[in-house]
Amino acid sequence: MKPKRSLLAGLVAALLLPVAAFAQQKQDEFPLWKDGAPGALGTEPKDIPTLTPYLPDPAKATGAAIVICPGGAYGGLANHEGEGYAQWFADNGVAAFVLKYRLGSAGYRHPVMLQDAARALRTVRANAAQWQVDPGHIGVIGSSAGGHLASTLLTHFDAGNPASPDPIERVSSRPDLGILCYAVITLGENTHTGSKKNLLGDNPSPALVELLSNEKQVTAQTPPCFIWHTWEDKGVKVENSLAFAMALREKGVPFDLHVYQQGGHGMGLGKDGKGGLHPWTADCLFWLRQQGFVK
Amino acid sequence: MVTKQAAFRLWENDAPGATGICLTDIPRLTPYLPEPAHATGASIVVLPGGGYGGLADHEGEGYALWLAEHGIAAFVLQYRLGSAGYRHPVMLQDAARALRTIRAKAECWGVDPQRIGIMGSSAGGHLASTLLTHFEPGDPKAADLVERVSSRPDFGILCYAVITLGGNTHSGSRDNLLGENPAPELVELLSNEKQVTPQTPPCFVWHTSEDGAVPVENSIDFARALRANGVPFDLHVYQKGGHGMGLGTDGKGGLHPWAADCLFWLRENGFLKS
Repeated sequence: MKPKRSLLAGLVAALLLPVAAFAQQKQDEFPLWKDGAPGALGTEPKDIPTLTPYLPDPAKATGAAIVICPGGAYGGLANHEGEGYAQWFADNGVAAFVLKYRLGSAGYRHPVMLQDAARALRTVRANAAQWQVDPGHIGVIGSSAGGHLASTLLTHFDAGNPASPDPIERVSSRPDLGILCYAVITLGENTHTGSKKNLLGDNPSPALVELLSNEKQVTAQTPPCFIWHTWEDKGVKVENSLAFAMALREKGVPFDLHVYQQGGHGMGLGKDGKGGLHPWTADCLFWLRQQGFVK
Repeated sequence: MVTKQAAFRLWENDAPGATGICLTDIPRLTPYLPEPAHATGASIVVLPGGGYGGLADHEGEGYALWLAEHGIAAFVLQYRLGSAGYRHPVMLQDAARALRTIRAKAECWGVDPQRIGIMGSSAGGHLASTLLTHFEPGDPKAADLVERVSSRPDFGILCYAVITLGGNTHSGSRDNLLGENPAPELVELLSNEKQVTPQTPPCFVWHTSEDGAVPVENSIDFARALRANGVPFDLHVYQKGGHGMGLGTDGKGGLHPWAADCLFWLRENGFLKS
């Protein structure tokens, strides 16, 4: 019985394998640090930041990559803003890496999340050849609180440490572009208080609130960004995106800004009511084409 | 098949304030009507740009043909210009009259008097934003039936529009509109980002960040004013593209994505229901 089954299984696999080799590939989740993340409070999954690669069909790959920060108020990680986006990026030839970053709900606070995001970007860059990615075409995308994290990386990156014994730590954490989806940007008046609390705890110092109000941290070195939001968003006010765009404008950083009137918070890829995705996806691909990330 | 009809005068006799009888003294509308089977009942008055000194065809007929293909009756307004010696409020009078005309005669064209939009590009966008913020109710007792209806557009579409006449303005447009040394109160009155109220109609606003002629701040500031007044809007700033793109191109044989974004917004707001 067993040999026959394995023969059958082998036959099926042999038939399927050629198809799989030309398709997208989701690879195994792997930890960002082999020997435990800095500041880890334990060894459970919630203490272990990871990346999960979604690689495009090699025939369609553009050489661009993106690190994806799902939202969830720094208290959870929304799947439709993680894997949901990853598959869409891979469909469009971009290697996508979904980041599971450590959360406030697990007892973590800033700067742990930023360390995880920076490490993720460095990891993709340092290992670019392995994934057939151009180290100069690695972006970051974040939604809601994941958007806050992305905007933090976009304004608080560093050049890496060329003398580090760890090759990953030698490279820059600067994303080559950012995509911000209904993002929390400020921790001031228009913030999302739940996200702020999970990130900074109770009674954060005003200096820290200012430091992570990223509309105030933009410089001429901030990477180009695609920013979108809905006017109707009651969870995270559109003022967040408007303020970030205005800061980019003031510093001469290129950007797209799209405020769509309708739609509540957390839309993800969304719908156009005619069987397709929400138009933000088409606007984003148009911009990514101009940035040399998609064809 | 879109039907382009003959242009007709806004006023049968001389327009108010007309200083001559040349074509440039006679404001006119040119209708572009959709195929009846595709008509949505929506209509749009189209104001081409040109610094209040000219009228750019690709922002007039160019848009009108596209709108009519999508079931929207389009009416391109040839409004009086600063280059012909006219100044504010003549342009506003022309735009208001155009909107009233469509509304009063909605039945004649088979359009819904409550789904009439105004669309303007560049200086035409300034004029559109002026009507969007300076409309007036009609006079129920007017002898002229057209003057009895409101001039309030039901929605606005602003394409790389001049909005302010302050620091970020397009000075050529401002000079043509107000002449030299305008009174500060007039400059303020027509800086339309300062004239928004909760009664301002919903708007679709778009611009390019690289626009070197009309700074993108015009559109961003107008959107912020809409936001502050609870007025619904779409705002789209596309990074690339110089001033005056019109329908543009997506580099793959289609129109620039703003066109699809605009139709999506019109549809979701119920402006295209038949």
